[in-house]
Amino acid sequence: MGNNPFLSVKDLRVEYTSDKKAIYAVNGVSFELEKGKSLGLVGETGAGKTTIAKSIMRILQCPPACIKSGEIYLDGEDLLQKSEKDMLEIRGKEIAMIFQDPMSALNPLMTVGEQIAEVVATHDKSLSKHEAEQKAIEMMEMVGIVGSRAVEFPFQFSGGMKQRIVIAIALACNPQLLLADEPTTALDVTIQAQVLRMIKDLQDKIETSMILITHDLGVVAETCDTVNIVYAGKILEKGTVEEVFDAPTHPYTRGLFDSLPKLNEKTDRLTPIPGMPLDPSIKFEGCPFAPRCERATDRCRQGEIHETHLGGTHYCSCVLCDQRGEA
Amino acid sequence: MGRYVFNRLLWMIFILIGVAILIFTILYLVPGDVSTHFLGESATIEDRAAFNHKYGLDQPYLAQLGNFLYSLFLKGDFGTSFKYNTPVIEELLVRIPRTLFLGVSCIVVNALIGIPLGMMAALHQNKWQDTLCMVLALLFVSVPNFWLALEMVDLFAIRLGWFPPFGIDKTTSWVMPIIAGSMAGVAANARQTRSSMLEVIRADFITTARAKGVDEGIVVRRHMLPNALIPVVTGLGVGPSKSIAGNVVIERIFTIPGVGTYMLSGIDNYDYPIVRSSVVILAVFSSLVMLLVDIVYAIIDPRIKAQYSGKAKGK
Repeated sequence: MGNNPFLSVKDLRVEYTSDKKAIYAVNGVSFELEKGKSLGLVGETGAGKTTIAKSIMRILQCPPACIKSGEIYLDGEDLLQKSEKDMLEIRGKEIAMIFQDPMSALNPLMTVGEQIAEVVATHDKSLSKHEAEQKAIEMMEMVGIVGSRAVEFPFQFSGGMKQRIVIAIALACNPQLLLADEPTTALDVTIQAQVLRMIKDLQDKIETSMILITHDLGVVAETCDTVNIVYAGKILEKGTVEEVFDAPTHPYTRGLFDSLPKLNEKTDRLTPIPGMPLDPSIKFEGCPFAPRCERATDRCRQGEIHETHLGGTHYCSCVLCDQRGEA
Repeated sequence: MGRYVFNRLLWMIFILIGVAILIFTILYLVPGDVSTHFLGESATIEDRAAFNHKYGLDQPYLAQLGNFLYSLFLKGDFGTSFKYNTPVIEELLVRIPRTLFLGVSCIVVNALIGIPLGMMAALHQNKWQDTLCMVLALLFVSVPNFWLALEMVDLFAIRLGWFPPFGIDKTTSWVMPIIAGSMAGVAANARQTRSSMLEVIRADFITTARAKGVDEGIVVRRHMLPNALIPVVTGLGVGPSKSIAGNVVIERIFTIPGVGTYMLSGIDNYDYPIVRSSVVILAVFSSLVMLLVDIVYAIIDPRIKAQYSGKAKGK
């Protein structure tokens, strides 16, 4: 990895408070992203992927969700040290986000054109209302919707179309970093490929870096350069897509791959990962995956598990590879 | 949209006919003899028969009802008061503006105080502002308006002498009736606004708006408020019919010569034409306000507008 990566997240910790109980959503996450590259954050529901993305944008509402510690550097500047006023400039312009559920991500009472124009006008005050609307229409055409539909309201669009609008909003100001939070999960399989391809094309066109949040390893393989496997608010394994997909090392990553159907093998039953994700209100010690791991030893439940460098950019936080590394 | 309003107005006619039949029937079934009330115990049977014949009270139910509906809806004749022997409509025309003024003022006060109170509570959820607003709302909604009215008269009119205790002679006469008449509505609106704001605050599109880098003040005004107001408008819509029709008690306490007091005097005196006409007039108000609310709905919510116009396009 380069000395000065475009985005660098260091030891990020986020806690939610509900009924005075702490929920440990993100527990010391560190990763880096090079300019123009795509990173896949993969993990189960509740692993803290969305929280990581929202932390980068600083749109978590505290309370209940507070960033406890960590540093997030974008182009060498720590976003967590910035004032709210500075963040307003960054949100939507430098960093943009595509949201999970297109059905509820748009304001039902504003025309889609207005909603796209809003982000344009917010970040370029010199534009007249008409120019912002013009830009909105351009963006709609770019995501493949006829510009004349700008005067329509979200309820007049299908789910896939709405997601295109959400993408148009996110890309309207040519952001340097795009956070795509499960952009295709709520969509039909037929539309998924379309939307992914479009994001990818647009990303190439405006040279944006992207963090793609998903639980679909297939999507990662197709779209991303590097991948982080997230579990219980921790990154268990990271590396390039080739490294992780060719040699999944962490037992959790292997479990994920085992639970996918394979085309070249005839299997009656998929192998699920036994057990349930960790209760996030309990502060764990050692490896969060230990309770579900077949190969867990006493060593897994004590102290901090360190990242082991497996070669290239491939890292894994597991006692087993730690020992192998030491040996 | 125009077609929708037309349809609604058409429906209103049927609703009013229904109201008229209902109030007529209820009054017909009320026990007690009208002629005895007006002529006194000592009146002869002939006198009573003459009275009943003059006002058509000796006819069978259906004939009376038919007559009433015919003169009301086809001739626009609201009847003549038994007691004062004057056309009811003359009296109503003088009184309607007063009742409307009181009712509309109450709605305006409801909206102007209730909505900001609810917004403040929601934006500071679980902080002291929230608690304060909700305690106030609970207080207003729990206090019966007649009691509040009497206490206000005692304090502000009699002890402090700030406002006249009754009547409509001065502009300041209206202050206490409006306050007393709107408190329960203020509370209801504040609670409704709070709960719908809280729902909207957590909506995904608010996160979208924040992610655009839009200033929080604009997020509240442009994205939260319009969405939160939709259910509030419903509340405001139920309120007016209640305020206009329900301010009878307030009118009575402050002796405001409005439709409400007129109706009450009609009830006291077995003066059926007064009661019937007042009820029909109040029903007209209520229906018109409901229609107005539905139109306002369509203005804020394009989805409803599309429903009304029966087209898929919004504009």
